[in-house]
Formats: sequence, C-alpha cells, structure tokens
Amino acid sequence: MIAEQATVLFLATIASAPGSVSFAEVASTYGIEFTHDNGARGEVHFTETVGSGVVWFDYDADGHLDLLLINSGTHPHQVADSKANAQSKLFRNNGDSFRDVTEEVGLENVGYGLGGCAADIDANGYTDLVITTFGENRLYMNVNGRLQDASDRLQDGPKFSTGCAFGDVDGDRDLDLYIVSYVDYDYQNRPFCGELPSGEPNQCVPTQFVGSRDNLLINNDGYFVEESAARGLDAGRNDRGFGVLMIDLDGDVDLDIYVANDGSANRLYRNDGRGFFSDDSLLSGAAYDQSGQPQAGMGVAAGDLWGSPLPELVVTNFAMEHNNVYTNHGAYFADDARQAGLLTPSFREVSWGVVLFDADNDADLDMVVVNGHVVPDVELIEPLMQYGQPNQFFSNHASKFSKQDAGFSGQHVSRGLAAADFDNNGTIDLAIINQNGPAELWQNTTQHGEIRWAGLTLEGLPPNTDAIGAKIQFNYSERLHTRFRTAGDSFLSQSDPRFLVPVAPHSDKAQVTINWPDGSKSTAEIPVSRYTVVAQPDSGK
Amino acid sequence: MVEEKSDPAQRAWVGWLAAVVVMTTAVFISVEHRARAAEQFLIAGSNALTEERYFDARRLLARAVRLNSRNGEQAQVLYLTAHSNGPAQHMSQTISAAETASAAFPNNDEIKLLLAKAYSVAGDHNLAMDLLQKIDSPDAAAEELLAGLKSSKGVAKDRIDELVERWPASPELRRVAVRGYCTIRAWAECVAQTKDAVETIQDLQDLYPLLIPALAISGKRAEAERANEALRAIEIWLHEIDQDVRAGQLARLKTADPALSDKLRCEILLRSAVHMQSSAVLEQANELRQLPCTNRWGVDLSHLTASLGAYRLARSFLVATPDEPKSIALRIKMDLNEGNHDRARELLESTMRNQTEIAQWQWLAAEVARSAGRQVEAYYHNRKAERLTNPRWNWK
Repeated sequence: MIAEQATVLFLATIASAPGSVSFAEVASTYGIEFTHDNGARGEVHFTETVGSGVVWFDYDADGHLDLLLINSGTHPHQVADSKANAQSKLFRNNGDSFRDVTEEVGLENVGYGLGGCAADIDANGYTDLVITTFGENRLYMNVNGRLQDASDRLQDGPKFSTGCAFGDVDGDRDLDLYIVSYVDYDYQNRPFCGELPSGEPNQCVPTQFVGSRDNLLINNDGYFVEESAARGLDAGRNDRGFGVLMIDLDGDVDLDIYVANDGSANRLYRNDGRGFFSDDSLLSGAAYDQSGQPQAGMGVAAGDLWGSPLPELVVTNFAMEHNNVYTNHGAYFADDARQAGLLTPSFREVSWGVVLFDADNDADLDMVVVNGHVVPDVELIEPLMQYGQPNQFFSNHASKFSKQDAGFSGQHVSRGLAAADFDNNGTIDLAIINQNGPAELWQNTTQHGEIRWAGLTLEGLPPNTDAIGAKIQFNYSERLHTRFRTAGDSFLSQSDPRFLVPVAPHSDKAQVTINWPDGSKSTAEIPVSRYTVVAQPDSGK
Repeated sequence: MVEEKSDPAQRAWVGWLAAVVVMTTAVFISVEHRARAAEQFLIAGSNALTEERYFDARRLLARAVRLNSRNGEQAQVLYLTAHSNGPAQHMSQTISAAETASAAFPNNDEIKLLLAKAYSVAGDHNLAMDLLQKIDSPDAAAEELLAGLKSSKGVAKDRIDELVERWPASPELRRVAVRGYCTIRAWAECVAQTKDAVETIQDLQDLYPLLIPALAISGKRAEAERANEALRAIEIWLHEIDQDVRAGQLARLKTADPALSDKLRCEILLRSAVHMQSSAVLEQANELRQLPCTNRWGVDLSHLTASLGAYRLARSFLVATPDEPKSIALRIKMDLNEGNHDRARELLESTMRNQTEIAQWQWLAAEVARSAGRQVEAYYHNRKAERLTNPRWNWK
C-alpha cells in the first residue's frame, strides 16, 4: 500500500512544476471503492439530475478525517435490482488508507440519499450526522463511534431535501439545523417534458415544478422543531434550493443564512441575534447576478477572497450563466464575477460543488469547481454542450481568479465536492462524487518547497463544541486574513472543519486571533507542522 | 415529283437548334420551377413566422434558402429570424447558418445583427460586440449593450450615454441602457431612470432586482423596501395564478395596487382577468376601461370579452387599434357571428387587397364564404391557404 502511494505521489510530483498546484487521483490506492447510482433505469425522473454529496468528519475522534460518500440508489417506488445495493458508505481513515466501516458503525441503507452535514450536537465528543434524502431525512447520533438512528427527533416530514447545515441561530448555544428543500416531485405524476432526438424522454427543467419550503429546525432539548415560518423564513416557501451556508455575513456575531436557489432569487436571511430573520436577499444585492437576473444556483461557498474581514460569497450556476462572486461591502454585496475573471470560464459549464481553500500556501483562497451536465445526451440537443465537463481549479492572485491546470484530467459529471486535509500534511485534498461513476479522492501534490503550516482545531464551549460561527484572523504577507468556521458548504457536502494557516519561513509558530461564536476573543500561538486543539476560554458568560 | 433532299449541314443545324431550344426551355422551366418553389417556401415560412410557428418556419425557410432563388437574401434573413426566436435550437447550427448568410450577403445589416445575436447566445460576447459596433441601428445598439454587459470587457458608462444620445427615440434601447447603468453601478442613473422604463410586469421583474439594491446602496432604504414589497407582491400574485391554473381552478380576483402606474395596473388586471369566471371578467373589463389600457392591451381584452359574447364591449377596446391584423380578424369574426355577412366580406376584401399571400386572410375568407353558402369559393380559399402554409414542392 505504502509503495503504491509513493509511486502515485512520485509520478504526480514529477509531472508538476514547482509552485504550480497539482492533484493526483488516489481513491483506489487508498482503498476507496464507491460507485454512485442515481437510480436511472429509463423512466427519467427529475430526482436523477441532482446527484449527491460528500461529508468529511471525524466519526471516531481519532484526529483523522473520515469520509462519508452519499448514494441515492433505486427510486423509492422501484423494485430493487442488481444495482440496488448502491448505498451511502462511510470510510474510516486509518492514516495511510481508508476502510469501509458502513455496517460496522450501524449506518444502514438511508434511502435515496442526497446531502449531508455533521456536528457534535450533544457535545459528547463524537460528531453526529444528518443525511438528507428524497423522503425522510436521517439523523444519526454518534455514541462512541456508533451511529444510532435518531431520525424521529427531526420534525420535518418527507421532502425532496438537499443541502443542510448546523449552527446556533437563536443564541442559546445548542446547534439548530437548516435543511434545504428542492421541489415538490411526485414519481407517479411525472410531467411529460418532451423527447430527445433518440426518442428517450427528455429531462424536465426545474421551473416545471413548484418549489418547496426549507426547514429551520430549532434544537429543543435534542429534538428539532420546524419553525421556519415563525422565524421569518416564509419568503422562500416556493424556492428550489440546493446549497446552504450558515455564516456571520455582517459581523454582528450571529449566524445569517444564505441559500442558493435554482432559477429564482438566492436568499439571504439576516439574523437579528435571537434567531429571527429578515429576508434581505434583494436589498443586499446577493439575490441575482450582476445583470439582475436569477440564475440556477447550485453550490455555495464563503470566504475572505480579497482581504476584507467580511466573507465573500461564491455561487455556482447552470450553463449559459456564470458563477457568481459576491464581494461583501458590508451594507451590500456586488456580483464581481467579471472583475474576478469568472464570466467566460464558467459560461458553458454546469457547475455544482465549490470549495475555497489555500491550495498553494500563499494564504489567498483559491477555488475548485466541479461540473457536469444534467442531460446525458445533451450533445444531441446542443453540440456546444457536453454531458461530461472538466473540473476546474482557479488560482487567486491579485484579486482575480485565473483558471489553471491542476491535473483534473478528463471529462466528469461531478456533483458533490468537499475539501479536507485527509493525510494531515498541511495541504488540502478533495473528494468528489460523480453521477453514476466512481467517487474520486484527489490528493494535493503541489510542491511548495518547504511547506510551513500550522493546523488549528477549535473547541468551543459546550454545547457548541464545534465552534460553528467562529472565525480566526492572522497576518501573512503583510495582510490580515480571515477564515470562517462555516456550516454547510459546497453542494450537498461538508468540508474539513479545521483551519490551516501558512507560516512564514524561519518561523516556528503562527499567531492567530480567534473570534468565538459568542463574540469573545482570544489569541493563540500555533506550532508548525501539526494540528493543535485550541479550546475556548470560559469567561463565565 | 422531285424529291427534295435537305442539305445534311442544314439538317444538322436544325437538329442542333432544336436541341438548344429544348434544352434552353428545359433549363428555363427548371429554373422557373425552382424559383417558384423557393417563392412558395418563402411565403409559407413567412406565414409560419408571423403565426409564431417557429419549427415550421425554420423547416420551410431552410428549403427556401437551399433553393437559393432571387429572394435568397430575404429568405436568409427570415430563416435566421426564425432561428433567433421561439424554442431553443442548436447554437452551433444557428451560428453556422448565420456565418454562411453573412458570407453570402456581407452588406446586409440584418444578417450581421442576427449573426451577432447568435454569437452572444453562445457566449462569444466580445465577438458579438465587435460585430454590432459596425451596425448603425438602435436594435444593434441595444444588442451591443446586452452583449457587453455579459462580456469580459464590460461596457463603459460613456458608451451607454453615447448610444442613448444617438437613438433617443428607441424605448427598447432605453430599457437596455437602464439595465446597463444599474449593472455597471452607475447608481444615480440607475435610480433616476428605472421607474420610467418600467411599462410591463416583465420590465418590473427585469429592472427592480437592479433598482432595489441600487436604492439601498444610495441610502434610500425606505424606498428600496417599498420597491422590494412591490416586486414581492407581483411575484406572489403570479405564483398564485400559477397555482390556481395548475390546480385547474379559476384564478382569484386580483386588485391592482393604485400606487403602480396605469400601464402596470392594466396588465395586472388583464392577466388576472384571463383566468376568471365570465362575470368577473366583464367587471374587470369595465374597470380596465377606466384606465388608459386600450392601446397596449386593447386587442387582448377585446378577444377576451368577445369570447364571452360581449361584442359591444369588445369593439370598444378595438377603437385604438383599428388597423392591427388581430383587430381586423376579430371584427370580421364578430360580424359573422352577428350575421352581418356583408360587412364582414367588405372589411375582408378591403384588407386582402394587397395581402393575398397571407394564409390567415385566406382561412378567414374561406370562413366568410362558407357562412354565406358559397362553398366553391370557400374551397378555393382553403386550398390557397393550405398552399401558403404547406407548399407541396418536392425539391430537395
């Protein structure tokens, strides 16, 4: 195993020039075998277009991030067939390989799985898990590394659920849950949406369906009670949502909610600090693209892209649109896709998962976007489009993204994407789910010369031990950088909850300021070349 | 009797001459036949385009183009127009057709405009802009701004000012210019000009998403919130109509916010009326008469009220648009339904005088003839209409 890994890394290393970002696909080398199945058996259902997500979380609390790959499988009404054993899988990270522990941990077949999110809800030191599905969503409470089904604690009912995120929205410190919902879809009443040149039924478009209300589930002693309408989220009752973020967008020390919607305004709900929200989507300028047009929002990510302490937002969209980069000006957002160089490179791609991370250790956040069309025969309809599309790496330099070859060879029909330093070497790696294809694990093989980094795991005061809503700040290259502990990420996925900080040459530690979710601050010196847990000081609040 | 022997040279010459005549005639007939076929396809395609049957128009006009007649340039323009409208088509096919047409007729601005539109749709906005800057028309100016707003180059405020100044009378360009000001964050112009540019619900849906953040950014938060509410109310209202229609129910009665402009109130009332029960429509129609709605919505309203048998009310909505083909057709049909055959025939004949090649009038003429018992004449008009719609030439 180790010899194989060394060979892969050696080949990737000699292929990449020093300084240029590169990744090598290592899924099979590390023992990950997973094939996604969207249930397509010829009937052509709208649910098949969506794909599923990836969740990085440390289920056994051993310091290595484990990998959950979510699967859909046969449609609920279909008879199980030879492919019906396609199910979500949890892979334990042994440090130098992964092992399928799905059955071992008690993760049974979850149904038509789509998205996921994870956090330690009960502060027992083990990360709990939610998997969203077409049907009943699943909540698994983690007890010493065993996942116990506690779905009856979710009072949300069956839906076509997609993204989800944990966060303390009402300031009572326990973690609430936001679950995005896509459309009302009925398998028995599939609308006729035309035919392809091949005579096969054509896939429907989202606007042929009525959107479905998202759920804000408030944590009430471990039970999650639906309160979206009462808390001001009614404006989005007909939205078709996918990606979601909980993040403090305006620096007022509470979690706001941002949802990417397919074909209608993206929603920005501002929190009043007590968990009541106002719909600030249009007023903020973060609802539409720079021409004031609604787009087909899919994935969403947030981060300090240009040096502001407030986070920018990135939203991925369908083909013939562009991906958005909403610069955060405090009082408003402005879609700077043109200025950021994203208009042309994202015009023909159907984009889904998106992650922002520092790929080249210069402290600026770079970006990976994964792509793939929804219609398998799209080439027959429009030769300029392709079902499989290249995944893209964008380097962030001087407040502009430039597309660069990072080794994502070939055409993909990708959906879920999440980033994590799975090998704990101070560089961010990627996991990708492909429609009806094998999952991919892309190891970062960038040559930095001597990499100097410091890793940081925040431990908040219970019950928000995950410190969701915290942010850290550090200086590097004469600029203040901010990183956010967000909840929800990318497309139906969740990335590494830890922080990586680049360290200047000849220094053996990083100096960081931590802004905790309750507004308190502390500073810490983080040693290089390893991850350090920093606990929130108890100020007695 | 002396047998006259013809000179072999003379015989050969006569034979040769006969062959030339036969061949010339054949070529002439063939060319003429081909030209007539092209003409028929052009007419039929044009009819399909007028009737917004875009697939038919594309098919028929493609054949007119292939036959490459003396009307080839017109055929190309109509063919590309059919491609640029209606349901989505292959972008690459449209570009290829437009490039071919442009190469054949390099001085035709309409073809250039359609080629630029095709580039723009396919995402080659910079290429489209370069081409559009060579065309001196308000349509090209509007397209240039639209392409520019989506391009990596962007559009400078000076360029928007320049184009608006060049074509001050073009409402379409004005709307696009407003969009441009908002998009490039020329907030003052955006805020000042948006409201005037909003004439329809579509305008409102297009421009308010730009106006609202512009107002908020300009410190006019209260005004931004009011605009936000107006947009939200419209969207909720449209959604409710959609739900009613999906559920197979009659739409709920809608009242238009008096704060909105008359034009918007007209549209709201009209669109609401479309899905109502008959008595409510008539009430709504009466309310609409109090507003200056007739210019823009007169024809739609008259069709609506006529379908309920309220002919007098329907006619009153047609006063402002007497010469629109849809108005004329409706008046003829109402005359027929009221038994006034002579008036229907008179109006039809005066209308058809120069428009015998339009299928719609031929269908109507057949209906008028049939209602007067003139079956042969009805048959003739039907055949003619069919030929105008679907020519039976077998040219590949």
